[in-house]
Amino acid sequence: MLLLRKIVYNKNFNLLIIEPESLTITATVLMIELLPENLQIKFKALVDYCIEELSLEELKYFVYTRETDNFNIEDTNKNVIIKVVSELDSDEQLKIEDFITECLNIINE
Amino acid sequence: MAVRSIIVSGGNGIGYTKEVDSSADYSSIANNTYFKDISLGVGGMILYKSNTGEILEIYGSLAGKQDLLVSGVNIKTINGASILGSGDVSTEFPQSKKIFVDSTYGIDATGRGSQVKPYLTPEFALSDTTNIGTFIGDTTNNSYTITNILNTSSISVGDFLYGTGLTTYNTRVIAKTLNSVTINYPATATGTGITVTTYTPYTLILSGNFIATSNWYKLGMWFDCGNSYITYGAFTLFDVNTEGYVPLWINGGYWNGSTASSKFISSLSKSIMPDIYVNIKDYKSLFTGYNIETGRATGRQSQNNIKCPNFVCVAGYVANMSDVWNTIWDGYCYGTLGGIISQAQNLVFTGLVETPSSVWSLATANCNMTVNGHIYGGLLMYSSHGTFNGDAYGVTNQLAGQTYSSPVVMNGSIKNMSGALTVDGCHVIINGGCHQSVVHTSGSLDIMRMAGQSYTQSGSNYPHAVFHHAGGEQASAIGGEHIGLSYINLNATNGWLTVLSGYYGNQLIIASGSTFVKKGGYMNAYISTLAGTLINHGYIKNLYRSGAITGKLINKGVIETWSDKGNDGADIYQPCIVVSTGTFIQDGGQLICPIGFPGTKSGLIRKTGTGKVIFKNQPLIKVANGLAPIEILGSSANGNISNFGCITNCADGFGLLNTFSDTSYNGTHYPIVDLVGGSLYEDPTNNIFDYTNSAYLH
Repeated sequence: MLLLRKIVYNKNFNLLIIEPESLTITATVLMIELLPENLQIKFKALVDYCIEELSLEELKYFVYTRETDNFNIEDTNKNVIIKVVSELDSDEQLKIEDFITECLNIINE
Repeated sequence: MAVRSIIVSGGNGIGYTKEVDSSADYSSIANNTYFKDISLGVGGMILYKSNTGEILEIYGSLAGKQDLLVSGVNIKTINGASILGSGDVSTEFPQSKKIFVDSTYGIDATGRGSQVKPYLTPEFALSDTTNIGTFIGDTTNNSYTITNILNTSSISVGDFLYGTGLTTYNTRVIAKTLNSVTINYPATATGTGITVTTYTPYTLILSGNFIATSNWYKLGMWFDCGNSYITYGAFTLFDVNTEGYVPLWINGGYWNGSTASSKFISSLSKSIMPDIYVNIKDYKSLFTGYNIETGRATGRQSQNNIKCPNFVCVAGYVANMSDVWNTIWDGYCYGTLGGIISQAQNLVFTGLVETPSSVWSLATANCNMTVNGHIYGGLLMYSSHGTFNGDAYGVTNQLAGQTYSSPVVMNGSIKNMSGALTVDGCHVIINGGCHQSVVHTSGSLDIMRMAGQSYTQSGSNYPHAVFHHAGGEQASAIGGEHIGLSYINLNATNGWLTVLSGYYGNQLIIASGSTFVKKGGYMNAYISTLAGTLINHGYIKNLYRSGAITGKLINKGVIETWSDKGNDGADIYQPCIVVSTGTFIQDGGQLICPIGFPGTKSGLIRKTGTGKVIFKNQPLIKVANGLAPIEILGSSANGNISNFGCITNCADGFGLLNTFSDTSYNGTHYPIVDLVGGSLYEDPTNNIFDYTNSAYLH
């Protein structure tokens, strides 16, 4: 079973990249509009959360790093908000953990 | 009208046998007859009646005829060659060491490759070209000549050579005779009957667009791709699958890796890493790993020169160039998961690396670097030194490793206000702004303008820092409020910090063994811990609270206190400088409390333990509330007070000390002080201390 290293959403190219812990194994690259339906729902919830959190109109990246449990949200002006997932409200934590679980399922399929 | 018989020979080269008066006589002339019509021209014109009765003007038809063709005189040559004669003129112009490939007009057939007979695919061109050979010769150590070659006809000037004693990279033939060749680097050993391998370099000239189907790497085969658009799928396009005796050159082209497994260049696990020279127009790939990756087994380190104005790694890392002697990168590159890793002896980067702010943009190890450009992601430099001329925008920046011999000089700014810059084990000079909090565990740090919110020293490895200007970061959205350096935590057992100017402050922690020298500037402070040493030459404004001082506070400048919460943080008005077992020295300068809150008993010092309070070099000591500057709290605090200063603004009945018998201080305290010094007092009616209590003076 593969473990997760990083999840990156890249608005520039409309991609979600799910990177396993082992760099020798190819990461999974998904076009956002081609995400599985259940992941798309969770992805949209996450983007809404990011936008609300930053009060921004345009989200450029989010980067989840498993090693530090960091969730970094970045807008087009290079403003970054760093959240440690385990320190978020339980609702938000659940939202992100659900999303991470779905991503893990994808790389382990 | 008449026809006369006449025989004239040799006239203008043509003889005639008849003469007529006009054209009306022509019908009387027999076929195949030359004759003269005297009515034409001046003195007549010779005509010819053909075997079909047609009348032909002899001189008239000759007038339009082409003169005799003479090459180079009345007919041009092609590149100096005559085109006279019969047969076909070939338009094929083969060019030495160039192989033409055309995706539209080419044909994959053996023996092609000229400009007019190009191959269709690079794959076939590579397989159809033999550029490797061998010969046997003798080498002499340090000699530029290989001798005793049976026949050099198969060797070309420009060929790369490799063999025993011919191991210097880029050894090439520069001249030859029938039985010897001259090389550009001398042999490294003497040998007889050495088998030498030759690699003849060819350049594939690509025209049109291509979809690559397999590895394009072959020793000595270089690429000139012009404006070709080249797509490749789930494989490594240039996979160095043999020892790299010959450099790899790739010029031009627009490259597109179409899958998550489309890697551009891989040169791994070889003992001889080939030099890699890439000068392309555009690159984009969905590859999720390192788009260019190098690393050796042992042996030769390569030189990588990468030049591309737009190198975009949509879903992966730009490059990991380990074991490289020189890396020279020029252009913009983008990596979603990461930028450039360079474990090179030397790195010269000119351009811009962009990644998300929270991943590494530029990571170096054991590297002497010159970076001219912006880094839109994290900066990780381990055991590296050199110059960085540009800004860094990453969330996490780390400068570490043992580089004490040379500093990292950053002529730019750390721009991101999130995250942290970690400095551990190296000398760092930032000739710009550091807008990011700093964690400092060893080595030296010199920042022109420290505007990060916090600065923390820790550990026991002598971190030391100088801030030329601190604080002053402004948030324009809230009217320019200062939001810069507000937290200084010197928690190393033997570190120090010097700040020369600026507006900064709020919480200050100075652990035992740490020293903070405040040379100038304006600090708005709360001293949380002072177990080390604080030397103030500047201005500390609104010092509203301190923890118990167990170290040293030496004030050579001005401290304005704001009697507020004392050492316990309770919301009552107490003296805010709390001397426990430490020492407070007011050395010249001023110690004043300009704000007299109602009920404040003393605006300056509360002595709670066996520490020392010394006013020397005639400082000005002033309280606003009219009471005494020093409170003695508890019998253990008695003594160790020296005053060589000027005390002002004490109210009648209050001197330097006060018992503070007010019940709000929870009881009566007895300032049995041990006081020395020659003091000046503004009000001569004031006593040094309140004799109504049991204080005494030595």
